[in-house]
Amino acid sequence: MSSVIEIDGVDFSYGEVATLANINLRVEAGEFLGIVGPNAGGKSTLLKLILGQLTPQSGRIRVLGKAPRTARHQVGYVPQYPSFPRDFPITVEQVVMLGLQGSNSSGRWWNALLPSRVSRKDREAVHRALKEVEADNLLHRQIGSLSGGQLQRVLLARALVSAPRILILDEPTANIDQRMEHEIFDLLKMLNERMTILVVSHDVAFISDYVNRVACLNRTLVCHQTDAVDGQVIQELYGEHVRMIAHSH
Amino acid sequence: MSEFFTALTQHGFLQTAVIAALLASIGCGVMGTYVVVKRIAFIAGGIAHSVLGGMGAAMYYGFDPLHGALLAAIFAALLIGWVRLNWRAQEDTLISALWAIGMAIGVMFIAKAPGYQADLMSYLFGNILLVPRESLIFMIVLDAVLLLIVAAYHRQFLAVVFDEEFARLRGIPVGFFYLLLLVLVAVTVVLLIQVVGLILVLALLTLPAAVAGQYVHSLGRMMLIATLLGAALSVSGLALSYGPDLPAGPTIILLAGAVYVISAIHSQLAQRRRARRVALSPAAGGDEND
Repeated sequence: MSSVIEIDGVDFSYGEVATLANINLRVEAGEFLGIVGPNAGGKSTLLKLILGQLTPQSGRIRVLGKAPRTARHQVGYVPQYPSFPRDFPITVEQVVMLGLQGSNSSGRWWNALLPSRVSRKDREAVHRALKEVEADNLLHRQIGSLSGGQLQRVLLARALVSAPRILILDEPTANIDQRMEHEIFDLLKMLNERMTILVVSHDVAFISDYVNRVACLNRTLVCHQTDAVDGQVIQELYGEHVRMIAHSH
Repeated sequence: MSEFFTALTQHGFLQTAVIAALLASIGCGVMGTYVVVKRIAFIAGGIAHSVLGGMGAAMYYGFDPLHGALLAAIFAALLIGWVRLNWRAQEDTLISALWAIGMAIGVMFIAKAPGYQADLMSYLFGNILLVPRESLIFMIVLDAVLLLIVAAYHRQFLAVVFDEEFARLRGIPVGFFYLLLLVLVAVTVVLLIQVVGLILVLALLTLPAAVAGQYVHSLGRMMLIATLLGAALSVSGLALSYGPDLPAGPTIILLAGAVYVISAIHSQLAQRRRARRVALSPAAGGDEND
């Protein structure tokens, strides 16, 4: 197996307080990695660094052997909260189509400035992506008319439409019910057969049923393996005594 | 009203005014839609008001005030856009400052302009009846530039207007397209200044698009409806103002305001009726929760 994401000695701070300190992590091709940790532990910041939205103050990040900003055409991303107004006049088809933009540019900066048209191939890719997430019946619906679960599937289709090699999801099930949570993770498990997946979650017990490995993050990386997540690690991760409750799905 | 239509067949200045209103409606419908869905009316207001600086300077140095307005509007759009992209925490303070400073510069220049002192009120509140025929060519060129750019880049504009964060992740140069969008808003402001003046521009830029947004659910349709509505409001306002000799700009805006208020109330009531019907229908269940 080869590493698709390499993070070496990364430090990051928004202001005077360090958000991430000395992060070292390798993600291998085909892995399904869960990133867990307390709020403000740096999970979303780590994703932003991998996506090239932020630059570390020190250390080095390589995604598919390249700088994160160069590799982002091969990375699909599903945000925790949609960063658009729900009443925007746009259909599901148009939203998923936006996921195709930028994927055809061959790396030259001026390609991004060229006018582009929607082709039949683009429409087929959109239909395929929606079918894969079982949301093809929503094609012509307005984005504002969708339920939380439907919207999450559409955002997943938007991330998948450009056929990424890595899929990154930030708490994808934070706003939906438990039944939908299982359905989304079953879908991710299936997608993991052809792509590497990184998912941020606050529920270590739930995701351990799906992922191959868990990275526990609270400013620093506390652990790397599912089997190492015991009471000691949880206590270290959340910084206080945590009551362990038996949990089964 | 009939008096207006009789006069329209007789007076060239009225025909010019109607053509100017129709040309301005194109910019108002197309760019007004982006302003409404992107919620950048405050930014558009900042651009519109700082234009007075350019108009005053052009008059002082003996150039066409409209050319000064275009340069000032583009400069203000780039400056405000840069502030918004790089200095978001201070955005509202800085835009307010540019808004006021631009107007103050304009008033200074106009006060000190040599020779004939132009009527400041006609810049602030517009005077569509005084639009010279040569300005129509200028307006046609601005409309053509605007439509060509929007047709070429509508996909990129949609990406930036809908979800900046995701557009950036897809490698779209968000800063470039955001600034281009504001420059086109600036061009529209100059188109509309002729009709309603720079104080009232904001209303004609946002109200027709806001009304359209209450009834249609795609950007293309919003642009079309807002353009037609803008044209209908400007020509009707002009016609209504003609008989009793009222100022045309404020009449157009009051008409647009009235249509918006009625439409907003109607749309709210219709929404409540729909929600009530859905809640009371026996089929209402949890199927939406999928």
